[in-house]
Amino acid sequence: MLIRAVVGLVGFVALWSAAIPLFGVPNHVLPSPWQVAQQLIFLFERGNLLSHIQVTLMQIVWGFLIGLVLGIIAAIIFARIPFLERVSTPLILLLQTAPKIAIAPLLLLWLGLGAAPKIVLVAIVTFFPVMTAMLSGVKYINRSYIDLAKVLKLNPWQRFWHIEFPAAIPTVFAGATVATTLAMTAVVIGELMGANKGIGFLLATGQEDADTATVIAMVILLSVIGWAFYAALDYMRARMEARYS
Amino acid sequence: MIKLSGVEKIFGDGENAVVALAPVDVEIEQGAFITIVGPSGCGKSTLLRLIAELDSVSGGTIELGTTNKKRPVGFVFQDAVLLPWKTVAENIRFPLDTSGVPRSISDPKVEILIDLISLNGFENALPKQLSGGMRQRAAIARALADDPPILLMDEPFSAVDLMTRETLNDELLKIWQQTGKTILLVTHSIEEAAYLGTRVMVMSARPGRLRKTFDVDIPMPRSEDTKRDQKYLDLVHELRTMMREQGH
Amino acid sequence: MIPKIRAIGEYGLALALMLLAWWYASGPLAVPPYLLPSPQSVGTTLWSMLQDGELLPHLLFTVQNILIGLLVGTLVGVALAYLFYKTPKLADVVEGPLVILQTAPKIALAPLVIIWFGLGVTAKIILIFSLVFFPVFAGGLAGFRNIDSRMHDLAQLLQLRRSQRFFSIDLPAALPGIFVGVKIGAVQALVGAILAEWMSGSLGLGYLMTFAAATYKTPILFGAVLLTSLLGIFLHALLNAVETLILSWNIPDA
Ligand SMILES: Nc1ncnc2c1ncn2[C@@H]1O[C@H](COP(=O)(O)OP(=O)(O)OP(=O)(O)O)[C@@H](O)[C@H]1O
Ligand SMILES: [Mg+2]
Repeated sequence: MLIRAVVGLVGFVALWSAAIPLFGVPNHVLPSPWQVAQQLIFLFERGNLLSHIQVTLMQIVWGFLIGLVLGIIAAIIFARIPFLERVSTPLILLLQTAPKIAIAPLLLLWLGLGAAPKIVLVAIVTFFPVMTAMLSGVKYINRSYIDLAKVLKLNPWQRFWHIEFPAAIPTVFAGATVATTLAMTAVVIGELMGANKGIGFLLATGQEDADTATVIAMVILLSVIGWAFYAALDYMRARMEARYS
Repeated sequence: MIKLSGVEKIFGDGENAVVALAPVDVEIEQGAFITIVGPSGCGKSTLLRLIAELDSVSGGTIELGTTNKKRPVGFVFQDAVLLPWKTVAENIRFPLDTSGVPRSISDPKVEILIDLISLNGFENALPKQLSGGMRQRAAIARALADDPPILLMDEPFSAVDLMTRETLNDELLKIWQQTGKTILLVTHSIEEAAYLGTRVMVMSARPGRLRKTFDVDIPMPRSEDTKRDQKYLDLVHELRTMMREQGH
Repeated sequence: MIPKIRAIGEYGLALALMLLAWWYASGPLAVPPYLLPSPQSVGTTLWSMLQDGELLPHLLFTVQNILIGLLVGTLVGVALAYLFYKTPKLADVVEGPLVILQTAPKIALAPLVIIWFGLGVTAKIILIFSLVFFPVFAGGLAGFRNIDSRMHDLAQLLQLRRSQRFFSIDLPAALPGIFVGVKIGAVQALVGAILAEWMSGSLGLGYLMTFAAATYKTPILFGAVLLTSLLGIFLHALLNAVETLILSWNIPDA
């Protein structure tokens, strides 16, 4: 699959370079791959690109971790106290169906243009799939494990830590893998809507200057980060699944 | 008359070639009810699929010898394969709809078929609302809808409970007698094969081939009494011994 | 019917609870109005904007773009998925890069689309289209590929013509998969519409937000956020309704 992807990508770049002279596309509309690469190097050397990447990565990682932990904690609470889950289900479904982008402007208003609103936004979009996955993992656990817990006379917390929680881990990772793309989207939205640093900020300024080379370079950069992020989580998910089943 | 001459089927090639069906020569007279038994993997499904032209032969020829109907064969799959988004009536009508038969002709036809398979009252039910046996009956009705002279059935009752299965057997015999179709039916049940067939074909595996054919000398119509008929019991016994020999 | 009424009641209760919390924070807790305007002030602002005819054009613009983008994205997504499904060779070549694109944040295309297609409605629809296209394509392709092979046997047995085969077997069988894509696409469509309006142009709920944020008109900002949320919830409910209507056969235990 990876080889095919690489081959396809090379083909895509070749097509892209061939199309420009072929159709006489002006430079400012579509720069060549070469120009984009040059722009990328330029930004690295002169434009402090590394620090922008760091900012974006930091926001993703922190937001993701916070969302992950909170999602797991919420699921644990809901699993232990079904009444609470019952009561808050409509509220959660409502929040889940409401588009998260709507919250972004409010976060910018409350938290300013720095990292905080992006971290919160990423945490929010990560929270829901993780919590849902964890909860369903705990709920749809194999009956015989529950029976085992009964036979061993485990108390509820023991049952949770030794049986329900480990059993739910593969599901949590599946949820987290889904969340990676949401988290990427969230950070880009946050940075496009208002920021003074980060890849999305460069993207936005690139748009204002109609600087297609920068914009395309940033899109590619984000795609690579998104893919690496997804692949990392997917790898962990596969490892977990292999270990548990 | 259906005539198979040297029909064979090989899946894959080179190292991985699997002889699913070694050359088969067989003639099936019109109006016969052929039942086919044999161990798993001996090429029963393959044989039916070749006759239906769902797969193409690797060698030999198949003559269906029927009138030039557009669709000479009806096929009943192991499980019903109804279109889940269509109601029972729509599923049965599907072959008619797709060959442009107007509703004024197809609707009464469907009504008769629904009567025949006793699904009255379920015309507008979706497949998911039916039991396995009911679905299978609907599938049989669909196979009959545009009145093909040949009916191929691949283990049609294997997903059905025993009581329903016996009822369906009798219904099928009734349909066969009323319509005079040529039927080829694959089954894993030796009793079913002996009860339904005018001829029982026994196949064996590795490579899949036709081992022996038994003419069933038991008069129609058959009924519960048939199952105590000495000829029937002898045939079942003989078939069973044969199957056991080849390590069923 | 009873569970349905109960669900509506529960949602109503959840909404009321949120409203109450909002009111409590802005009133008794005295959070400053430039950070959190009261529900009443947001309500009256929205109402007066509606009466002045200032609100509807923005709302309709957003809704119109979403619907057009969703429709075109779905049609093209399904068509291309079918093409890929029918020509495995093509899929072999192009699917590799598509896998990478699938995990890429497509919303990052927004600036590029704006540069290329300007500040008007075209750019917005194109952005929404490209956001909808991907999930529908992926869902449709999975749907087509998961069709029970015996349905193909049936099609061949009945010697269906190409169009008969598409409309009476392939398309309905792939519909559940397509619908998964459309649902994801609808969320993306809303995100794309709002973001594009935020970044350029002078119409739409997204524009209303950025305008309000820039001029510190917090009640308008909250109103736009509220409307966007409601629009999202409405879109979700609408698609669910369509799903139960046309995919009831696919939902066990009717
Ligand atoms: N599409 C295929 N590709 C490769 N091998 C196949 C294919 N279809 C069938 N075979 C092989 O051909 C042989 C005969 O298969 P077939 O399905 O006809 O057996 P069968 O008698 O119907 O078995 P069963 O009683 O289990 O249904 C088997 O060894 C099977 O593995
Ligand atoms: Mg078989």
